[in-house]
Parts: sequence; structure tokens; C-alpha cells
Amino acid sequence: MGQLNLYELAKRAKKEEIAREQILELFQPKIKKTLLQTAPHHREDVEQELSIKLLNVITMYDLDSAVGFWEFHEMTQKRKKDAKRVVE
Amino acid sequence: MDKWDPECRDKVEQFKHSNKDFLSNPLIKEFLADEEHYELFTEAVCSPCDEVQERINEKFKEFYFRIRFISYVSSTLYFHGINLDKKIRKHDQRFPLQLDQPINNESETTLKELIEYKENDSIDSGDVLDFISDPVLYKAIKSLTNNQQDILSLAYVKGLKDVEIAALLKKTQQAVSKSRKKALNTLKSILLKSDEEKEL
Repeated sequence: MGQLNLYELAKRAKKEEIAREQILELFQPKIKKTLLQTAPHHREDVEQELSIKLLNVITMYDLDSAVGFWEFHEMTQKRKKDAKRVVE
Repeated sequence: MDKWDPECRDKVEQFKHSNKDFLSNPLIKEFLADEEHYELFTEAVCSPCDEVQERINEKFKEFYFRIRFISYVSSTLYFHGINLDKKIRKHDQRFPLQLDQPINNESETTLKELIEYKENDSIDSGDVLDFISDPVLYKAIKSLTNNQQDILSLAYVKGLKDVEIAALLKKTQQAVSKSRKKALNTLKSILLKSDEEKEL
């Protein structure tokens, strides 16, 4: 796909600091963009806070919450059934 | 897609037909738009082999995770940024660095007008010696008896009357009056003497 496998990276980031740094690097543009709303003299503080938040997200995020293809298929089927039942 | 036999193609068509809703799901659409994924999908529909199923599951997990994680992180950062900003603004408003700015939009009073002025040069002490800055006078008072010093303190620092001092020290008013006058006379003579010495 040519793009970085974020799933693998996030998995590794739970233990490896290098992977964490890589994710942090990946989201730098987003952080920089968010900083535009803050007053210039507070930007450095906010940048730090946001980086801390991102590191928290990386360690807290539940990787198992991503489902496989067929699980997703089942989920949509079930949702459809449920929706039908509600209508009936 | 010629590499798939007709039987397989039929199966795929059948799957597509019976799972229209599923395939029109934007996530699945996006997932299958990738050629590699689509091949894997066809393979998975045709052969119920575990290994292939596992592979498509894994691929989808990666794909799905990527989307979810990125959107989660983006919104978290966005809202956290806004919250931090709010906090900073609140803090700046409560502890302003500028004193001559109007408190709010309507009034013209500024913060500096509201600052209380406290007179802080009164000495919180009952001892007469603490109020003396002249070294000669200080030495003179020091040379008085303790009793005389106490009376001077009560009379001139606290501003009490002789009667009140007498009651406090359990003495007669006459005795207090006498020691006070004697103390003052002693001080006077000492000061006069020192003046004479200066003149000489």
C-alpha cells in the first residue's frame, strides 16, 4: 500500500519508545494545526500538553477494539436485523 | 479478473447480491477499492480456507484501525487544544498582567483603582524603645529603671492615663505620676547634657 502500517506501529508503541516517537512524529502536523488557535506565547506550553495527551492515547487505546472483516460483516448483518425488529 | 474461474465469479456475484447493504457500507466500499484487498476478498468468498479468512480479517483490522485511530486522535487533540485554550484564557482573565485595563466592557474603572492601599508604617509594638530613632534618646531611656520604662511605654505609646497605668501596675496614681515626671526630668537632663557636650 506504500503507507505505513499504523496498526503494527501502535501495537509496538505499547512497549517501544521508538514506535511511540514515530507516532508522535506522524501527528505533528495535526498538533501544529491545533496550535494555530492559541496565542503565540502560549503555543509551546500547549504543544507539550497535546503531546502528553497523544502519548496517553497511545498507551490507553484498546487495539482489540478494531474488528476483522467477517466480524464487521456480522456486525452489520446484526444491526440490520435489529433495525428490522425495531420497525416491526 | 480473468484468473478467477467462472464458478468463483458466480460465488462473488451471489455474495454481492445477497449482501448489498454490507457492500454499500462506506467503510467496506473504501476497503475494497484497494486492489489488493479486493483480490483477497474474492479469494475469501470463493474458498472458505481458514488462512485466507485470517488474512482478510487481519488486513481489514489494519485498515479499520487506521481510520478509527486517526479520527480518534484528531478529535482528541482538537478538543483538548480547545480546552487548554479556554483554561489559559480564563487564567489570563483572572490574573491579568495589565492593571490599567477596564474590568469589563461597560465600566471604565480599571483594576488599579480597586487596589486597596494599606498603611503599613505603624509599628506593632508596645515598647517605647521601638519608636526611638535618636541614639542619644535611646540610650537615655535605656538608663531609666525598668519601672520608669514601663510607665513611659504605657503613657506615650498606648496613650493611657496615669490612673489607668496605676490600676494596671497595681500602684497608686500618685506613685505613677511621680515616676513618670521623674523619668521625663531625667531624660531632659540627659539630653541637655549631651547638647552641651556637642556645643563644647
